[in-house]
Amino acid sequence: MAANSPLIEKLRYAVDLTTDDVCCLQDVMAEPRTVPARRDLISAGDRPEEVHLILEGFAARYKLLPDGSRQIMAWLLPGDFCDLHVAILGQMDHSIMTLSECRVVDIPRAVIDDLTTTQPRITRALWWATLVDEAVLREWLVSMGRRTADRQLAHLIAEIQLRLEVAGIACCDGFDLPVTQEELGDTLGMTSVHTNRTLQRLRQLMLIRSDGRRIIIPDRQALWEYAGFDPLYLHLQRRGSAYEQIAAENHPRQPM
Amino acid sequence: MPRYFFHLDDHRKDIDTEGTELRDLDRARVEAIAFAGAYMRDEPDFIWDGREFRVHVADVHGRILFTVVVLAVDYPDARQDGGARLQ
Repeated sequence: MAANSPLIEKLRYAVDLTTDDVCCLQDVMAEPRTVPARRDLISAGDRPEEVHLILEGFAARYKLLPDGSRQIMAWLLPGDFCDLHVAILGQMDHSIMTLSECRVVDIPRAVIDDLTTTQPRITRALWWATLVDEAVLREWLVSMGRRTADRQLAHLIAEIQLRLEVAGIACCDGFDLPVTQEELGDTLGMTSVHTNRTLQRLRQLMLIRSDGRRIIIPDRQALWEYAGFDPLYLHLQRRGSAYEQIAAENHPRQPM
Repeated sequence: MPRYFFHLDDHRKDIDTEGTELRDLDRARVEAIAFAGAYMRDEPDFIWDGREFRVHVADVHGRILFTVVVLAVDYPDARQDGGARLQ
Protein backbone atom coordinates (compact mmCIF):
# COMPACT_ATOMS: atom_id res chain seq x y z
CA MET A 1 0.00 0.00 0.00
CA ALA A 2 1.53 3.35 -1.05
CA ALA A 3 2.21 5.88 1.68
CA ASN A 4 0.84 8.45 -0.71
CA SER A 5 -2.22 8.18 -2.89
CA PRO A 6 -1.51 6.78 -6.39
CA LEU A 7 -2.68 10.06 -7.93
CA ILE A 8 -0.14 12.06 -5.97
CA GLU A 9 2.63 9.55 -6.72
CA LYS A 10 1.81 9.78 -10.42
CA LEU A 11 1.49 13.58 -10.60
CA ARG A 12 4.96 13.99 -9.07
CA TYR A 13 6.25 12.97 -12.50
CA ALA A 14 4.37 15.95 -13.93
CA VAL A 15 5.26 18.81 -11.59
CA ASP A 16 6.92 19.50 -8.26
CA LEU A 17 3.91 19.41 -5.96
CA THR A 18 4.13 21.58 -2.87
CA THR A 19 2.81 20.47 0.52
CA ASP A 20 -0.22 22.70 -0.07
CA ASP A 21 -0.82 21.08 -3.44
CA VAL A 22 -0.73 17.65 -1.82
CA CYS A 23 -3.19 18.72 0.89
CA CYS A 24 -5.49 20.20 -1.72
CA LEU A 25 -5.47 16.96 -3.73
CA GLN A 26 -5.99 14.85 -0.60
CA ASP A 27 -9.05 16.94 0.27
CA VAL A 28 -10.49 16.32 -3.17
CA MET A 29 -10.06 12.55 -2.70
CA ALA A 30 -11.66 12.47 0.73
CA GLU A 31 -14.68 10.21 0.19
CA PRO A 32 -14.13 7.22 -2.05
CA ARG A 33 -16.78 4.58 -2.62
CA THR A 34 -16.53 0.92 -3.62
CA VAL A 35 -17.87 -0.14 -7.03
CA PRO A 36 -18.30 -3.84 -7.82
CA ALA A 37 -16.49 -5.42 -10.76
CA ARG A 38 -17.93 -5.22 -14.30
CA ARG A 39 -20.17 -2.29 -13.50
CA ASP A 40 -20.55 0.75 -15.76
CA LEU A 41 -19.22 3.87 -14.08
CA ILE A 42 -20.53 6.02 -16.88
CA SER A 43 -22.04 5.41 -20.32
CA ALA A 44 -21.69 6.87 -23.80
CA GLY A 45 -24.04 9.83 -24.15
CA ASP A 46 -24.03 10.67 -20.43
CA ARG A 47 -23.50 14.26 -19.36
CA PRO A 48 -21.81 13.65 -16.03
CA GLU A 49 -21.80 16.19 -13.24
CA GLU A 50 -18.86 14.47 -11.62
CA VAL A 51 -15.35 13.50 -12.61
CA HIS A 52 -14.31 10.01 -11.54
CA LEU A 53 -10.90 9.11 -10.18
CA ILE A 54 -9.74 5.52 -9.65
CA LEU A 55 -7.98 4.89 -6.34
CA GLU A 56 -7.91 1.07 -6.41
CA GLY A 57 -8.63 -1.50 -9.06
CA PHE A 58 -8.76 -1.49 -12.86
CA ALA A 59 -11.37 0.13 -15.09
CA ALA A 60 -11.73 0.29 -18.87
CA ARG A 61 -12.90 2.70 -21.55
CA TYR A 62 -14.93 0.80 -24.13
CA LYS A 63 -17.40 1.00 -26.97
CA LEU A 64 -19.90 -1.58 -28.16
CA LEU A 65 -20.74 -2.15 -31.80
CA PRO A 66 -24.30 -2.97 -32.94
CA ASP A 67 -23.35 -6.65 -33.32
CA GLY A 68 -22.40 -6.75 -29.63
CA SER A 69 -18.66 -6.87 -30.11
CA ARG A 70 -16.67 -4.69 -27.78
CA GLN A 71 -13.43 -2.76 -28.08
CA ILE A 72 -11.67 -1.65 -24.94
CA MET A 73 -9.63 1.46 -25.82
CA ALA A 74 -7.89 2.14 -22.53
CA TRP A 75 -7.27 0.75 -19.08
CA LEU A 76 -7.69 3.11 -16.14
CA LEU A 77 -5.40 2.26 -13.26
CA PRO A 78 -5.13 3.66 -9.72
CA GLY A 79 -4.33 7.37 -10.00
CA ASP A 80 -6.09 7.73 -13.35
CA PHE A 81 -8.95 10.12 -13.97
CA CYS A 82 -11.77 8.66 -16.03
CA ASP A 83 -13.34 11.71 -17.48
CA LEU A 84 -11.49 14.92 -16.72
CA HIS A 85 -12.22 16.04 -20.25
CA VAL A 86 -15.98 16.26 -19.77
CA ALA A 87 -15.41 19.52 -17.94
CA ILE A 88 -14.83 20.86 -21.46
CA LEU A 89 -16.45 18.32 -23.78
CA GLY A 90 -19.65 17.96 -21.78
CA GLN A 91 -20.77 14.56 -23.05
CA MET A 92 -19.24 11.10 -22.93
CA ASP A 93 -18.38 9.64 -26.32
CA HIS A 94 -17.59 6.25 -24.82
CA SER A 95 -18.41 4.17 -21.75
CA ILE A 96 -16.33 3.30 -18.73
CA MET A 97 -16.72 0.09 -16.73
CA THR A 98 -14.89 -1.41 -13.77
CA LEU A 99 -12.89 -4.54 -14.62
CA SER A 100 -12.18 -5.41 -10.99
CA GLU A 101 -13.83 -4.10 -7.87
CA CYS A 102 -12.71 -0.47 -7.62
CA ARG A 103 -12.43 2.30 -5.07
CA VAL A 104 -13.58 5.42 -6.89
CA VAL A 105 -13.80 9.09 -5.96
CA ASP A 106 -16.59 11.17 -7.47
CA ILE A 107 -15.41 14.77 -7.79
CA PRO A 108 -18.03 17.39 -8.58
CA ARG A 109 -17.29 19.32 -11.77
CA ALA A 110 -17.40 22.55 -9.77
CA VAL A 111 -14.44 21.34 -7.71
CA ILE A 112 -12.41 20.65 -10.84
CA ASP A 113 -13.39 24.04 -12.27
CA ASP A 114 -12.25 25.67 -9.04
CA LEU A 115 -8.94 23.80 -9.10
CA THR A 116 -8.24 24.94 -12.63
CA THR A 117 -8.84 28.59 -11.77
CA THR A 118 -7.01 28.70 -8.43
CA GLN A 119 -4.27 26.04 -8.59
CA PRO A 120 -1.94 26.47 -11.59
CA ARG A 121 0.51 23.72 -10.65
CA ILE A 122 -2.21 21.14 -10.09
CA THR A 123 -3.90 22.23 -13.30
CA ARG A 124 -0.67 21.72 -15.20
CA ALA A 125 -0.34 18.28 -13.67
CA LEU A 126 -3.88 17.32 -14.67
CA TRP A 127 -3.20 18.56 -18.17
CA TRP A 128 -0.05 16.38 -18.26
CA ALA A 129 -2.15 13.39 -17.20
CA THR A 130 -4.65 13.80 -20.04
CA LEU A 131 -1.82 14.30 -22.55
CA VAL A 132 -0.16 11.09 -21.36
CA ASP A 133 -3.50 9.29 -21.78
CA GLU A 134 -3.42 10.44 -25.40
CA ALA A 135 0.15 9.27 -25.84
CA VAL A 136 -0.79 5.85 -24.49
CA LEU A 137 -3.68 5.69 -26.94
CA ARG A 138 -1.30 6.49 -29.81
CA GLU A 139 1.01 3.71 -28.71
CA TRP A 140 -1.92 1.29 -28.49
CA LEU A 141 -2.80 2.18 -32.09
CA VAL A 142 0.72 1.27 -33.15
CA SER A 143 0.50 -1.98 -31.19
CA MET A 144 -2.82 -2.96 -32.63
CA GLY A 145 -1.87 -2.02 -36.15
CA ARG A 146 1.66 -3.28 -36.45
CA ARG A 147 2.92 -5.40 -33.58
CA THR A 148 2.52 -9.17 -33.83
CA ALA A 149 0.22 -10.69 -31.22
CA ASP A 150 3.07 -11.92 -29.00
CA ARG A 151 4.79 -8.57 -28.96
CA GLN A 152 1.54 -6.67 -28.59
CA LEU A 153 0.65 -8.59 -25.42
CA ALA A 154 4.20 -8.31 -24.11
CA HIS A 155 4.08 -4.55 -24.71
CA LEU A 156 0.81 -4.20 -22.81
CA ILE A 157 2.16 -6.17 -19.85
CA ALA A 158 5.34 -4.07 -19.82
CA GLU A 159 3.30 -0.87 -19.91
CA ILE A 160 0.83 -1.84 -17.19
CA GLN A 161 3.59 -2.96 -14.84
CA LEU A 162 5.42 0.37 -15.28
CA ARG A 163 2.27 2.45 -14.88
CA LEU A 164 1.44 0.61 -11.65
CA GLU A 165 5.00 1.12 -10.43
CA VAL A 166 4.74 4.86 -11.14
CA ALA A 167 1.52 4.95 -9.08
CA GLY A 168 3.35 3.25 -6.21
CA ILE A 169 1.25 0.08 -6.50
CA ALA A 170 3.54 -2.54 -8.00
CA CYS A 171 7.21 -3.39 -7.98
CA CYS A 172 9.30 -4.38 -10.95
CA ASP A 173 8.71 -8.10 -10.82
CA GLY A 174 4.99 -8.22 -11.50
CA PHE A 175 1.44 -7.22 -10.67
CA ASP A 176 -2.08 -8.55 -10.18
CA LEU A 177 -4.08 -8.61 -13.40
CA PRO A 178 -7.78 -8.76 -12.54
CA VAL A 179 -9.16 -9.16 -16.08
CA THR A 180 -10.72 -12.09 -17.92
CA GLN A 181 -9.19 -13.43 -21.12
CA GLU A 182 -12.17 -12.07 -23.00
CA GLU A 183 -11.52 -8.57 -21.63
CA LEU A 184 -7.85 -8.94 -22.49
CA GLY A 185 -8.83 -10.00 -26.00
CA ASP A 186 -11.22 -7.07 -26.37
CA THR A 187 -8.35 -4.80 -25.36
CA LEU A 188 -5.87 -6.26 -27.85
CA GLY A 189 -8.38 -6.73 -30.68
CA MET A 190 -7.87 -10.51 -30.51
CA THR A 191 -10.25 -13.45 -30.06
CA SER A 192 -10.31 -15.35 -26.76
CA VAL A 193 -8.56 -18.29 -28.37
CA HIS A 194 -5.78 -16.18 -29.80
CA THR A 195 -5.35 -14.35 -26.49
CA ASN A 196 -5.13 -17.63 -24.64
CA ARG A 197 -2.56 -19.07 -27.06
CA THR A 198 -0.54 -15.85 -27.00
CA LEU A 199 -0.37 -15.92 -23.21
CA GLN A 200 0.85 -19.52 -23.42
CA ARG A 201 3.47 -18.44 -25.95
CA LEU A 202 4.84 -15.72 -23.66
CA ARG A 203 5.05 -18.29 -20.86
CA GLN A 204 6.87 -20.72 -23.16
CA LEU A 205 9.35 -17.93 -23.96
CA MET A 206 9.69 -17.44 -20.18
CA LEU A 207 8.91 -13.75 -20.51
CA ILE A 208 6.06 -14.07 -18.01
CA ARG A 209 4.85 -16.51 -15.40
CA SER A 210 1.35 -16.69 -14.00
CA ASP A 211 0.33 -17.40 -10.45
CA GLY A 212 -3.45 -17.14 -10.32
CA ARG A 213 -4.18 -13.51 -11.16
CA ARG A 214 -0.60 -12.48 -10.66
CA ILE A 215 1.64 -11.86 -13.65
CA ILE A 216 5.29 -12.34 -12.74
CA ILE A 217 8.00 -10.80 -14.90
CA PRO A 218 11.23 -12.76 -14.34
CA ASP A 219 13.37 -10.47 -16.49
CA ARG A 220 12.00 -7.04 -17.21
CA GLN A 221 14.79 -6.12 -19.61
CA ALA A 222 14.06 -9.21 -21.70
CA LEU A 223 10.34 -8.40 -21.76
CA TRP A 224 10.98 -4.79 -22.82
CA GLU A 225 13.34 -5.93 -25.54
CA TYR A 226 10.94 -8.53 -26.90
CA ALA A 227 8.06 -6.07 -26.86
CA GLY A 228 10.11 -3.22 -28.31
CA PHE A 229 8.95 -1.26 -25.26
CA ASP A 230 10.33 2.25 -24.84
CA PRO A 231 8.69 4.10 -21.94
CA LEU A 232 9.23 7.46 -23.67
CA TYR A 233 5.50 7.76 -24.42
CA LEU A 234 4.68 7.68 -20.71
CA HIS A 235 6.56 10.97 -20.38
CA LEU A 236 8.11 10.19 -17.03
CA GLN A 237 11.10 12.42 -17.68
CA ARG A 238 9.85 15.95 -17.56
CA ARG A 239 11.60 19.17 -18.35
CA GLY A 240 13.93 20.23 -15.57
CA SER A 241 13.66 16.93 -13.73
CA ALA A 242 16.70 15.51 -11.99
CA TYR A 243 16.83 12.72 -14.60
CA GLU A 244 16.95 15.19 -17.49
CA GLN A 245 19.86 16.99 -15.84
CA ILE A 246 21.85 13.78 -15.51
CA ALA A 247 21.06 12.75 -19.09
CA ALA A 248 22.24 16.11 -20.39
CA GLU A 249 25.44 15.86 -18.38
CA ASN A 250 26.18 12.46 -19.84
CA HIS A 251 25.62 13.50 -23.45
CA PRO A 252 27.33 16.91 -23.77
CA ARG A 253 26.90 18.76 -27.04
CA GLN A 254 30.19 19.58 -28.73
CA PRO A 255 30.73 23.28 -29.48
CA MET A 256 30.91 24.09 -33.23
CA MET B 1 -19.34 -24.58 -21.45
CA PRO B 2 -17.18 -27.15 -23.22
CA ARG B 3 -13.45 -26.59 -23.46
CA TYR B 4 -11.69 -26.76 -26.83
CA PHE B 5 -7.98 -27.05 -27.52
CA PHE B 6 -6.40 -25.31 -30.49
CA HIS B 7 -3.17 -27.01 -31.48
CA LEU B 8 -0.87 -25.46 -34.04
CA ASP B 9 0.98 -27.63 -36.53
CA ASP B 10 3.49 -25.81 -38.69
CA HIS B 11 7.27 -26.17 -38.65
CA ARG B 12 6.94 -26.58 -34.89
CA LYS B 13 4.15 -28.37 -33.05
CA ASP B 14 2.55 -26.01 -30.60
CA ILE B 15 0.24 -27.80 -28.17
CA ASP B 16 -2.54 -25.90 -26.43
CA THR B 17 -2.17 -26.98 -22.80
CA GLU B 18 -5.07 -24.96 -21.41
CA GLY B 19 -7.89 -24.76 -23.92
CA THR B 20 -10.62 -22.15 -24.15
CA GLU B 21 -14.23 -22.47 -23.03
CA LEU B 22 -16.56 -21.82 -25.96
CA ARG B 23 -20.32 -22.07 -26.35
CA ASP B 24 -20.38 -24.98 -28.80
CA LEU B 25 -18.70 -26.67 -31.77
CA ASP B 26 -19.97 -24.07 -34.25
CA ARG B 27 -18.31 -21.37 -32.18
CA ALA B 28 -15.09 -23.42 -32.14
CA ARG B 29 -15.16 -23.71 -35.94
CA VAL B 30 -15.42 -19.94 -36.31
CA GLU B 31 -12.70 -19.33 -33.75
CA ALA B 32 -10.37 -21.79 -35.50
CA ILE B 33 -10.58 -19.82 -38.74
CA ALA B 34 -10.14 -16.50 -36.95
CA PHE B 35 -7.16 -17.90 -35.06
CA ALA B 36 -5.56 -19.35 -38.18
CA GLY B 37 -5.99 -16.01 -39.96
CA ALA B 38 -4.54 -13.99 -37.10
CA TYR B 39 -1.59 -16.36 -36.79
CA MET B 40 -0.86 -16.18 -40.51
CA ARG B 41 -1.04 -12.38 -40.44
CA ASP B 42 1.80 -12.40 -37.91
CA GLU B 43 3.91 -15.09 -39.60
CA PRO B 44 3.22 -15.11 -43.34
CA ASP B 45 6.62 -16.50 -44.33
CA PHE B 46 6.42 -20.01 -42.93
CA ILE B 47 3.65 -21.24 -45.28
CA TRP B 48 6.13 -21.10 -48.14
CA ASP B 49 8.62 -23.46 -46.56
CA GLY B 50 6.84 -26.38 -48.26
CA ARG B 51 4.66 -27.57 -45.41
CA GLU B 52 0.98 -27.16 -44.64
CA PHE B 53 -0.16 -25.04 -41.76
CA ARG B 54 -2.81 -26.72 -39.64
CA VAL B 55 -4.92 -25.81 -36.65
CA HIS B 56 -6.23 -28.98 -34.98
CA VAL B 57 -9.14 -28.49 -32.63
CA ALA B 58 -9.56 -31.15 -29.97
CA ASP B 59 -11.93 -31.80 -27.10
CA VAL B 60 -10.98 -32.28 -23.49
CA HIS B 61 -10.34 -35.99 -24.13
CA GLY B 62 -7.79 -35.21 -26.81
CA ARG B 63 -10.03 -36.28 -29.73
CA ILE B 64 -9.44 -34.14 -32.84
CA LEU B 65 -12.81 -32.72 -33.82
CA PHE B 66 -11.72 -30.90 -36.97
CA THR B 67 -8.65 -29.41 -38.65
CA VAL B 68 -8.14 -26.19 -40.55
CA VAL B 69 -5.51 -26.65 -43.26
CA VAL B 70 -3.87 -23.78 -45.09
CA LEU B 71 -1.82 -24.63 -48.10
CA ALA B 72 0.07 -22.48 -50.60
CA VAL B 73 0.83 -23.98 -54.01
CA ASP B 74 3.76 -22.75 -56.09
CA TYR B 75 3.91 -23.00 -59.89
CA PRO B 76 7.58 -22.65 -60.88
CA ASP B 77 6.70 -23.50 -64.53
CA ALA B 78 4.71 -20.29 -64.87
CA ARG B 79 7.92 -18.38 -64.57
CA GLN B 80 9.14 -20.15 -67.75
CA ASP B 81 6.06 -19.38 -69.85
CA GLY B 82 4.17 -22.61 -69.16
CA GLY B 83 1.85 -23.90 -66.46
CA ALA B 84 -1.60 -23.07 -65.03
CA ARG B 85 -3.64 -19.97 -65.82
CA LEU B 86 -6.74 -18.64 -64.11
CA GLN B 87 -9.71 -19.31 -66.43
